[in-house]
Amino acid sequence: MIKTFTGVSLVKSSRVSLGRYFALLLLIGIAAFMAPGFLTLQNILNLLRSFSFLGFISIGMTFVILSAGLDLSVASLLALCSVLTALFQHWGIYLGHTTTLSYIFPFPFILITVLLIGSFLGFLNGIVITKLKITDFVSTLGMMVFARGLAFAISGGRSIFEVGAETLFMGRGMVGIIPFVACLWVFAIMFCTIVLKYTAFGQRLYVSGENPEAARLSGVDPHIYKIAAYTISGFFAALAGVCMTGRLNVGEPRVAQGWELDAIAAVVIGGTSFAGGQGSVVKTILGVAIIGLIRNILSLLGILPSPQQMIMGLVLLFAVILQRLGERNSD
Amino acid sequence: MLKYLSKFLWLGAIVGILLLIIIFGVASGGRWLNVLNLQVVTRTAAQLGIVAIGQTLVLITGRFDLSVGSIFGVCGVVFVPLVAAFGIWPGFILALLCGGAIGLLNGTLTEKLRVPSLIATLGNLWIFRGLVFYITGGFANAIPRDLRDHYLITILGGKFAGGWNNLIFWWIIITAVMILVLNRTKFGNAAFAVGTDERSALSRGVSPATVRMAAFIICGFLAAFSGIGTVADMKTGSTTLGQSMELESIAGSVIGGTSLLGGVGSIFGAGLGALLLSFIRSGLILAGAPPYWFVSFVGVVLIGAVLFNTKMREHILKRIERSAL
Repeated sequence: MIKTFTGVSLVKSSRVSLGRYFALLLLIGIAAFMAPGFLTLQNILNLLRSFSFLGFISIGMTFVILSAGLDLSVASLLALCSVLTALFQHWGIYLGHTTTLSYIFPFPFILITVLLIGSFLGFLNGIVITKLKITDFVSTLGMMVFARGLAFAISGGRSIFEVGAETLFMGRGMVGIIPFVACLWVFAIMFCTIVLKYTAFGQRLYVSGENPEAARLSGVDPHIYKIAAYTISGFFAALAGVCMTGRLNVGEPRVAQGWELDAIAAVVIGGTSFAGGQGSVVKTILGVAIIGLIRNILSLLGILPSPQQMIMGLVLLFAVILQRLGERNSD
Repeated sequence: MLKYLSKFLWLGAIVGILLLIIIFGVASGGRWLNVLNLQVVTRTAAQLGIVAIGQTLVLITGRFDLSVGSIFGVCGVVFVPLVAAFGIWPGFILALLCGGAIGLLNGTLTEKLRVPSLIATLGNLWIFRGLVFYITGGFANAIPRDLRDHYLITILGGKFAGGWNNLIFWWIIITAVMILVLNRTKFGNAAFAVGTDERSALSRGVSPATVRMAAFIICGFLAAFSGIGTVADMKTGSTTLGQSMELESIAGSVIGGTSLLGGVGSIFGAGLGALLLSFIRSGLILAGAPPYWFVSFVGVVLIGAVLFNTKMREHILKRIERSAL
């Protein structure tokens, strides 16, 4: 840690982050070259919207990785919450009362319930990891298959079409010319940055991620902060799930498959360290933008989703190797 | 002491299997406990079991391999065009070498480039799953008709003694060999040592990097062998081959008593774990549950097994300490 305060490694680390901006500019250049309408205001706002969904879960993932954990369950939680959001509104149809969307539950109730369910499952991850002492990777992997399986089981493997106007607004609505999701995302970024930088909670989260033993000795229980990080991750996954349902107008158990990889890649490419305790939400935005642009360009090239997954795997490995080499150089 | 403990790691799995046999046997009224069903159940158990052996070895050295499902898939799928192009034996050897090469890649990424094994193998999971789609083009490709009766295909994926799959036979052989390797050779000792305490292993002249690379390569070979055997059995390689096997193989190892922290593990237990998962799958299907439930169930079983193992170990260690006092 002291090493990063010496002049040499500061120069090195700034060189690494310069590389990130350079990569982003390069990607924007490629995209602008391939699609002439790329740099219009309309398209940039559209991009901002398409980044938001991955952006939400990446914010949650940043919290988890800062606390020296890893959450593989985010994409599955997103899918589960998407199915739940649609299912709550279709309750009447399922029970056979009506043939139209049911408002047995008002929208705010549905939103809060789904967010609570997401947060609770995240909380459960945290409890299993800290109290039952199961490695974070295994317990979130268990949660990943459990939540995905549950999403399939309760929807019967079907897509649940049509959701209410409020849900649609969450995904498709506009505030002036800016998409509502993008506003929500920017708000979440600002809020989380303030929380991480200027509150005692944020400072303690950093400390307990970087050195749990030191945190414990100075009276900070690292377990509480880890549980909090996973709960926040679950919350953002649920929020992304609700917005996604509105964007697609469908509750879909297959949605966001493999997004845990994209979110991890976004956080790592942004420069948040796997070891915990180093990084920020703002850095993650850069990662989300790079990942989003790579996806966008691959789609422009007409590459199908499964080969895209292959390229994303390569990008992730490449990013981690670069990060490792950077760390080794600064040693 | 940990090594002594690891001799009885699989007791929980044995109890689980006996319980399941009784429950399914009684509840299904003889439909589950007949030879035909047992042949199917042990066949899937053998496919998973061979992969779980490699996974156990990697887990013992203190690493994870999430790419086994994709190695299984890619080697099984690539076996078909290789056989069509180069003939049976060269195709078999090349496909097997692919598995070893991916294992070497995993090892290089984690040990030479110091990428956490979780991330490295997760990346490879996606890369090689994508490659499976690329090779098959999204279709199920069949082995050419005139090559299907070749003796090697029969040895790998045929049947013996009235319907039992040959893969079961291979599974037993590989299990026996690996038990011998782990318990009777220098390499086995080194694997346990590296997983238990990296530094003291290094101070005794055992290179953790070399041992772990070897474990990754063996794991790659075994996953490839199982994938090829499965394709030789079904005569076709489909895109979903080996999907979610990484999770099932880890669950199988853990049910058999292998610790995720390294240094503790049982090959025999991994076999029992694979058998148990296969029993649960067939039991759930017979009970009429939708196939999606199995996936959820594996997640729950995995966490439950890890929990059970840690509690058991704490309990036994405490008793040993008390009796020593």
